[in-house]
Amino acid sequence: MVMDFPFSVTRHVSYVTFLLFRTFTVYTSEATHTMMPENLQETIGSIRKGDRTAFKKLVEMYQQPAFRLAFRILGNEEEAKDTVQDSFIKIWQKIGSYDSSREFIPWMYRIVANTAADRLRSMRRHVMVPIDLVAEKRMTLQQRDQGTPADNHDLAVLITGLAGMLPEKQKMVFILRDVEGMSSEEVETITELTADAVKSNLYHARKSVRERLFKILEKERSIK
Amino acid sequence: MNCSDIPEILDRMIFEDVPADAGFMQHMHTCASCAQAYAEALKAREVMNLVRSSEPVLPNPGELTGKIMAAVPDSPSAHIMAGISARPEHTFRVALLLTRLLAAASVALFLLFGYEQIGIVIKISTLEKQCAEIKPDSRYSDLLQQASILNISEAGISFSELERLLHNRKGRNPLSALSTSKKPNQRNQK
Repeated sequence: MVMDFPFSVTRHVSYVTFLLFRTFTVYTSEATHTMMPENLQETIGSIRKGDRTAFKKLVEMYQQPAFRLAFRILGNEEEAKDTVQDSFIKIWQKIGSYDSSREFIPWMYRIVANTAADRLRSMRRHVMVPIDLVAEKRMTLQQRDQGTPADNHDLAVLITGLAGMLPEKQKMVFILRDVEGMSSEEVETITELTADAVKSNLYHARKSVRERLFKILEKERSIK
Repeated sequence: MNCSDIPEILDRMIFEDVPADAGFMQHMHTCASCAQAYAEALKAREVMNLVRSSEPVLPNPGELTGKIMAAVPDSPSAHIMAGISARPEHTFRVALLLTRLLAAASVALFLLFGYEQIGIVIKISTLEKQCAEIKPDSRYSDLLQQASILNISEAGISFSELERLLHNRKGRNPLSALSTSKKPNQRNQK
């Protein structure tokens, strides 16, 4: 009993410390990811004047979503990091042309998507990942513990296995609409395609991906 | 509901995570092939949900921020200049000016060289017509071999006149006759 007391106190103190730390980290991470529009406009105003500190703040805030989009388009971690770097340099250079009456994030996504598309063209290869490897990585990702971040390599195989063979426009529309979950209007703004072109590209992309999905599932059944 | 409606509904289910309605479910009870496709679509939807929910994480974000900050131009003036050059209306004006300059240059080039080229083309086509009239075994075939297109063209004479020249100045080189007798038609008229 005497021995239990300090142990119990230590455990409670550590638990409370953990809760405080978690509250703090959740608060700070939410604060960094949900910038109020007026604060964002203020930051952009400072960047226009050449404020590097404000630009650094913007980079810290939006490099993760930019990386996510680039990674999903390119299916490669290193290429995605280079794309993010190039995109932010373009943002710094083109901030003068940004129309403040419009939302910043679609404008930023357009730059990231275009930079990723250029890189995709320079890579000049349609990657065909073997179905059994895609099925294997899918099972690995599915079986990981809840809350554990996905391994980028496994994700790259899965995304490339599903959408790697799609032509550029189809891939763009598919990633933005069905993976990033954007609305058709947002996809039109980012890709600068008409509503009909978005619809048509999405139709063909979904058809190809659906066929690929069924093949992966069939392979999984044979593995089991 | 018909079987032909099912693929579109399945696509919406797989890719947009839209739940199936009562009419669809009723059709699943009556059609075995659609029910099988539905079972597959449910699994495919799981894969798509996995892709959507598994966010790739940027490793070492601080390092990337540092790289970006090191790569952007340092001086504010460079940044302002870059901003100005990136202004769409400015770029548009420059592009418009360049387009007009190119159009004007192409028109001037056409006027300078086009007229002369058209004259040459007309002369050559006339000459070709006249050459076609002469048989290969005729006595003018020698002359044709010696005379160049340019000489005949410059002289501006027909082959019947060439024949006459050859007759009148026997023993002389027909080419020299050509070079000395410019525009015989005009001379005759005078």
